[in-house]
Amino acid sequence: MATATDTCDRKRMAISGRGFAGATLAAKSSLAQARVVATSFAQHHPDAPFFVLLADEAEGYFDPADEAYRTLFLDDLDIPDVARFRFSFTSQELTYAATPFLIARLLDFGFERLLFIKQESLVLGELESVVADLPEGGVALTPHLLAPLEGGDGAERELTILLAGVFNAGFVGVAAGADSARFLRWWQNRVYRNCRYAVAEGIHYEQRWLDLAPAYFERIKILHDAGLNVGHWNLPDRRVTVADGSVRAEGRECRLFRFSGYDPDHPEYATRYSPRLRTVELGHAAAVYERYRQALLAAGWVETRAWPYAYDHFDNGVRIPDVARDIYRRLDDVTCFGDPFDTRRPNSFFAWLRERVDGRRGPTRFWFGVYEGRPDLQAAFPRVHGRHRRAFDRWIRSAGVSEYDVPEPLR
Amino acid sequence: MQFVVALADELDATFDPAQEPFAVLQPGDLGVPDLRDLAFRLNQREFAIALKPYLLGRLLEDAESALFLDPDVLVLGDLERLFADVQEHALTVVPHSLEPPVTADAVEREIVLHRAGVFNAGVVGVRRAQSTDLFLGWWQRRVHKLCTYAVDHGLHYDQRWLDLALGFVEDIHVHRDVGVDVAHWNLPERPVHVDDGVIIAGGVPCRLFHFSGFDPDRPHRPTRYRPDLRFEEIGEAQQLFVRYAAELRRAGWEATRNLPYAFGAFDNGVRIPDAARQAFAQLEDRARFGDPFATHGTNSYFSWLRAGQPNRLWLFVHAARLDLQRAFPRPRTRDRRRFLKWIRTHGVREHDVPAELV
Repeated sequence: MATATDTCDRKRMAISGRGFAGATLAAKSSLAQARVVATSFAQHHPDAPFFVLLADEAEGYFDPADEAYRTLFLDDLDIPDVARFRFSFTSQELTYAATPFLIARLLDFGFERLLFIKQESLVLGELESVVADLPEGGVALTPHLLAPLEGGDGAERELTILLAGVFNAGFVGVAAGADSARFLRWWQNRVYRNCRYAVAEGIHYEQRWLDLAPAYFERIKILHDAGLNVGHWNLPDRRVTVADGSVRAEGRECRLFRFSGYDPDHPEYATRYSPRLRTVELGHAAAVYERYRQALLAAGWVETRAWPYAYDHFDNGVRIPDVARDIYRRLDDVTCFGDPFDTRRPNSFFAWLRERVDGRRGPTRFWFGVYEGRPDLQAAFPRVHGRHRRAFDRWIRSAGVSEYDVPEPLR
Repeated sequence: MQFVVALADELDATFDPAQEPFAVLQPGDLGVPDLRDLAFRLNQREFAIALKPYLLGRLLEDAESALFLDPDVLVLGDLERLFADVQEHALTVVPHSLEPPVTADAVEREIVLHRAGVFNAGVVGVRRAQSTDLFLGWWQRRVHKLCTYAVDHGLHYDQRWLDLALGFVEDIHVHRDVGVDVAHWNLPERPVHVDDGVIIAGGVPCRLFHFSGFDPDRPHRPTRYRPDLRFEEIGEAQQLFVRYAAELRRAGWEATRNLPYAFGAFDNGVRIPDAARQAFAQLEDRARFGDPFATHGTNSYFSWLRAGQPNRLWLFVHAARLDLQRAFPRPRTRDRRRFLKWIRTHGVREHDVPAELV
């Protein structure tokens, strides 16, 4: 079991880079996906290094030295209070939030041109030219949609895209320079405490923040190449054809195909995020999905998918329910807790969660934290410290525990 | 250069367009399909905004390029650079903010922009081009169907749709001038100074100020969108508001602000409450009523709405409100009396429903 101290023992990565590099990030349960990106990237860029940020710990499940890419860890990045960062996010949120920190760090190493690609991808063509064209400090982004969506549900699908963000954060090309440095610092600042799924509010993980980039930063380049970043959100609208193994989208060479939410256990769906798209209805694109599925299996998906996440429990072994992360993240001042995973210190976050609010009369801070995030509970149990305390306790036992998947010590 | 005002209304005897220093277009001149249906479904604000993409399309029939300005702006300097951009690019847009907010509530303010849209739809430039035709045609279709304020769902009238233009229009140009479209949302980053009559915003000449949400009849605050914002907090920009209020009065504000809205009432004079508009919009077979403003005959939407006790209008309100459903689970039977009472004591006020529709 990895602890906070294990990570400190490892020496911080010192790399000197130049030219062009690619990168992705993944927890180890998605290592097969990361391997597929790295391998397909290498096929088209044999001289460019590829980095995988492991938003996790290897814990002996694999040896980074054996992998066909360079591995980085969160400690290798310039993330302020990295223990706080690891605790604040679920595994998925962490991979999103670490993105601007990873890009910035690689530029610090000396790379002049960088391409970040999200883990569920297949590189099908050469991509260096995309970032080679950028001016100094330029940032290249791909919009989810390059054309309106037709059909009766076109408007509704477009609204979904508006809530998710105009740009897809699965493709970010960066050229070193002052403008991109400013952009990355701003993006880092925003995701540090605001990388979550809250679309009604106006937040979609790290991705929605990108909407403001063209307003703030002059050197944002919007890519209008239909062959870049083909994914479930623009399918079947972006017409994909496959001939002699060569994939084209809207007639352009398809160089990057994305498989967000693709589940090899359910290949009949393009993505688990929406039942709308069945792979049989995708024409030629179905062949690309099948090719990806085979690549995942060859990269060890069956084995890697079951690997545990190192940051999913306190150091006493108790699993961290997602809502505990939300509660922690909402707090303005967490310095008193030190490392939030550490349960042995007197002011531990774990002990704080178990304390009763308002002496013996209130619920625990954990359940009060749940309550604070739920207007419906506040309406049903307005006097949760007093008159409605018992009824709230009943809700906890009959519904709360299972709804929030709360481990025994926090119930 | 011609200046055109599109009237989101109908001309009547109250003013003579020939006397105005601008050309006037009416909704019927803009090629809007199902115009009366649209004018009934949408409230006054939504309707005025929905006409914008049609207006831009209409203007490009006669002109090579066109710049739209919201009615609540004051042009304070030459807009040559803006005109140049509009003439050069298929689509020219102006962001609400050109830099991250400098105040402590920066993140909250950016989230507000997420909800409202990156660009301000109060300043939009278009030039004749095939891509512009496609974009305007799409924008027209979207606002025709959905032009309302529902930011949790990605809707902010016409403005949020504009965000997608970044992907749809290759030749989209972001106009960067902190002196253009200065408004309450970016004032902290563009402090206003009046120097010997010259108005400076963010260190550059202020060319266009946008008085979004300002009501000259409520001169104690700059905008109704930020009820907490006081004039003391915006420094010298306050002088601009004083000047704007004076110019509005000179332009006939007192006489014109209460002129009736042509699409505000049924043809029997009964005011159309928003709930009646929304109920109409949701009816899939609403074409059977013909003109929704008409009240004669038994087949009118008006008589359909009034039928029953509680009537269909109130049943629609009930179906749209979870709190009413919880308070009056059976509004037509067991809870009828209590619901009718709520209508009289609260509903009428909350939904601003005229007596004829109670």
